[in-house]
Amino acid sequence: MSDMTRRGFLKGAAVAPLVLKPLAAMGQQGPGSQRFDIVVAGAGHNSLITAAYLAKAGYRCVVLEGRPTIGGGVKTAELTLRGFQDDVCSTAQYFIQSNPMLRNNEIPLRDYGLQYIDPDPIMHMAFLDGSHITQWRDVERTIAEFAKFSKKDAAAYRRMYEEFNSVAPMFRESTFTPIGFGPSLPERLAAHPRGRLWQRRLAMSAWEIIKANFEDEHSRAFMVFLAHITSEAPDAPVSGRVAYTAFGQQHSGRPMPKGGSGKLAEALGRYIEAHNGVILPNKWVERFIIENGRCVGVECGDGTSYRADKAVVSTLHIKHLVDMAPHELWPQDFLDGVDTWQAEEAMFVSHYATSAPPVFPLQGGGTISPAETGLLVSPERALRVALDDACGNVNMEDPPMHCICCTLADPSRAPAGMHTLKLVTWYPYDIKQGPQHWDEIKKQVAEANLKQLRRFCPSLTPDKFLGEFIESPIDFERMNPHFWHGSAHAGAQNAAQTGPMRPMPGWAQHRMPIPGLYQTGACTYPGGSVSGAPGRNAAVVMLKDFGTSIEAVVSKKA
Amino acid sequence: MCAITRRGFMKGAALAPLALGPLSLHSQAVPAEHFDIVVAGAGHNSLITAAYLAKAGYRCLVLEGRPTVGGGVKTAQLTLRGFHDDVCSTAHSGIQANPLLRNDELHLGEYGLEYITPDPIFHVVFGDGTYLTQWRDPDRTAADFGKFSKKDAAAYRRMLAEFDSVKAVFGATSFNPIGFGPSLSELLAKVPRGKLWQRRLAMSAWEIIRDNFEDDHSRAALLFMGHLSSEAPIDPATGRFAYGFAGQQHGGRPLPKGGSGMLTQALARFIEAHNGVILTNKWVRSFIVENGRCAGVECDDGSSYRASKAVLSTIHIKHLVKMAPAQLWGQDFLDGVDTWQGERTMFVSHYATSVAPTYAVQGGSLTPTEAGVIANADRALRFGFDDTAGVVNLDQPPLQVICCSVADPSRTPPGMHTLKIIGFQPYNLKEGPQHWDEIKHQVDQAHLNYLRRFSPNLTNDKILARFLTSPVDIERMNPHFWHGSAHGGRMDAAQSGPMRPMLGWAQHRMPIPGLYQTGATTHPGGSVTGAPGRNAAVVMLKDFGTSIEEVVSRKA
Repeated sequence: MSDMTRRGFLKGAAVAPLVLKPLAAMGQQGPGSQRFDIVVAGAGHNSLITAAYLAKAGYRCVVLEGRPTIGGGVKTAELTLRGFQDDVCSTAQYFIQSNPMLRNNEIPLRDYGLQYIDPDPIMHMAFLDGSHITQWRDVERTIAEFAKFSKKDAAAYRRMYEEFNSVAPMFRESTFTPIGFGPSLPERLAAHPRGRLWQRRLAMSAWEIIKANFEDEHSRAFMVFLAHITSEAPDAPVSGRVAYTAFGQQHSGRPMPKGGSGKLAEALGRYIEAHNGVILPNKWVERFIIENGRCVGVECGDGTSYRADKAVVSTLHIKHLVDMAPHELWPQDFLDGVDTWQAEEAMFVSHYATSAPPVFPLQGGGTISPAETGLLVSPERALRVALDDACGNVNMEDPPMHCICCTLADPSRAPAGMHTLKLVTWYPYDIKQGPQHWDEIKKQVAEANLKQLRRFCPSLTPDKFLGEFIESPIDFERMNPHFWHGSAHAGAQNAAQTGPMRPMPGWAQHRMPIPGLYQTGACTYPGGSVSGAPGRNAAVVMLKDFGTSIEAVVSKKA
Repeated sequence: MCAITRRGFMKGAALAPLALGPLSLHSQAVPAEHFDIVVAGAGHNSLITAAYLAKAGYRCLVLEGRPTVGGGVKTAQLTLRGFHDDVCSTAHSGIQANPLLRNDELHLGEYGLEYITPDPIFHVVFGDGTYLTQWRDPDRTAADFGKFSKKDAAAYRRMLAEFDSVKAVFGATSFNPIGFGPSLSELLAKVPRGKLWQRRLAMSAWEIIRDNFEDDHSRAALLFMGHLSSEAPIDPATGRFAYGFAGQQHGGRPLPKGGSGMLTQALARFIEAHNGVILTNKWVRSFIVENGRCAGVECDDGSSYRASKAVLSTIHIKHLVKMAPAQLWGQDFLDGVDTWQGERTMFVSHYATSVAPTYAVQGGSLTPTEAGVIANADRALRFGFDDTAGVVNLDQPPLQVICCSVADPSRTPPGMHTLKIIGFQPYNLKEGPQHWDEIKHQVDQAHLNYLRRFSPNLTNDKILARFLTSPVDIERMNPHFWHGSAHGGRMDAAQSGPMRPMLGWAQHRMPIPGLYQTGATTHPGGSVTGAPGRNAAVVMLKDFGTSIEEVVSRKA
């Protein structure tokens, strides 16, 4: 087991070949002896969203980021070659489309450079028998794709889409409401005519739902691939909601920010600066300053310290958070929660600079070049990921793969005619020989992944590859200690770590056991992925504690 | 997909070579008597409910479709005359904490029930030939963990102490109907580290085991024991099953003398002694519904029985809903039945043998009543996957091996043994469940051959007869084992607590007034706990204007 500390990380990070250049737009580097109301430890998209709302409310915020660039898991950088803009972690940003921040334009991020591209098709899935299912923005066209395999499955897709739409507002409301600040999801579902059925569905496994509704192996593979895309095992109890991932994105598409995922974080950074906030990169928060039992600021690795008159907001991973203040300040139940926190199924990601995009042959002639493609040989192969993860097996036989070529939708990301290609696969962090062994085998695993890709996409011959950047699960953790044990969503998003249990029963409302300290980010409700929900929800709680409300702040003139 | 209907079952049952002798239960004649309660199906739970109701003075009629009562708690001569095999359940661990036995509420000892508690409790054998034995003495058990790791021995002691601190909470939730007492979370809020327990219950058993035990043998043994509930140890919300080993440390795994079915026999005698009537070979076909109320049942043989107070069913919910017009059940309930999932299934071989399985241990050999064979922790982690994928995995198959005659020689002719080998194989094969009929002999042979690597004395000449039940045979044997589910269906987050069998319908009261439900499809689910049975009695007695406490405190 690798026990990576934040200090150990600093050493590793120096070695990691990330060519992240500081953002040009970032403001003054001198902290000055200024007063701040809010000190934010870490600049992921969630903590930036919290800070943006607080800045809009008139609080003076300083955001401290340990790396040279802000963004956390929402970051774009030249990983392979100069001029190729790769998404370091997240790419598609569809959950956040229903966040009131964007939906109601509460923070007018378009004015700060954020622009979305909405690729069509949404997702293509190729099968080894030469057949395929393509998900188009047009739902009827998507349904026709299922009908190729089964009329019953086409009807099931239509029925499930309608069913999903009938509860989507309830899911959305509960996602964008902090725990205890509104009715719980079961309470909301009680108002739905089939609310009890939905409660059963949510407690079932995604696979049980998919299997009961779809009969054809292709349809099932498509549904189960999307169910697994956020790294949750589709056959685990209480994963029922991810059976509906296909319908969530049928509704919203899989939009990507023009220029790269990181454009969201950059726009937020600009917004905060435009609202009297200060963003300081290369400021590694080392510990909290506690006075009279209250968190009043932070100390950084470079010896500087920053004090907050009102509150400190952290987006540090909880496994590291508890090392930032004396142990006795964290009550036993919080420490128990941190101690029992579990990592998720980890990802293995290869970034490539290529001179050609992936081109998938279509049965009956023609080809397709989608921005996003899923490759899965059978539904069972996706169900095996959890078993291999539990056993620590590196299973290179037919690895399920998510293949993303953003430049097909957004040519601005690469030199003319060139492409960025990201291959996401799922392999365990905790392999039998220990996570450090990843350094020995990662080239071999990347090659196996490419070999699998070429079975579906033979045109991507080795001569088309100009540069590469491989991230094993342990590289993920080295890149960002918030990806604890390779967890891109900070940890499993299962029954034990969701809702009021995220991060721990009793501590799900963003208020930490140390007064004056708040927590946001993927360790908090509703969890990882680019939803911005933990960020906005933390703002809701903090603004309430400060005697105002997010509604009051949002309705203020900019 | 095989959809075995209750009608289809009757046909299959006629073909099944079960040598079940009818019990000596009296009065097969149909009296034109008056009954307060009609009970459809005689499993151990419905018999318990009927026993409490009979004690309360209600005249009960119990109708059982098979020639013998007992359901999953039945003993029969499956292999050869004189060899008494447990058809389904064997150990009666869970029911020991039921107030029925714990407080001796029904004096079943006077009706012939007697328990034997074997020592060792359980012997686990690993692929590398090493073993871990659970003895009644916790120190001796901890010392066995210590062979592999001192840290694990300490972890086992810690686990026992931790489990003791919440045992009462688990008991209180199991032996109370839903909504009749504080919920599990409310009770946990009152114990030290209750929030930690909430987290643990929502975690997977594997996560708890891995984080507390370092050695692969310790992990494999705990995973194996946790899996006996048929839930996959890597699944979320299986945390409780990490404590399966600890849970049986104090009470052991008691067996009724004479066979598992002695429990249901004793219950039947109790009911008959309290003015009740038990009729076998009475296959309930439909409910009689009058003015929207369930007023009795009709049987396949044309007979019908009316209940002046209530009808109690222990019929599997997948079949239950076919016994009255669909519109009477309400959409919610039908949705619940429609989404109901079968569990991970078992493949069971019963043998009559002239030896008991004997395992090599340091300085000699051991002949335990119960043993488990599990190659290693990785093999135990595969439990859920192969079932989901519909794969018959004969590579180092995990086995539960039970030889009751070691502890209870009364079950066989002198010197002979009954041997039950339980493997874990899926009902839903890729080729469909019917394919089991093609492969069951081959699977049985593979299980036996693997066991022989650890118990080489079980040579062919020691095997006198065998009786195989594949997952589909288990369903044919009893339609309550729907899709091979020995516990009525999965006992996971979607089908536990207030969700069993369906949200809003977990209090044993069914959507049709006058109809109550018990058995493994009700809270807290399958296994020999008698909890669904006693809980149903709690609810019914309350509805009848009295209480179980009042009934129990009456002089017999």
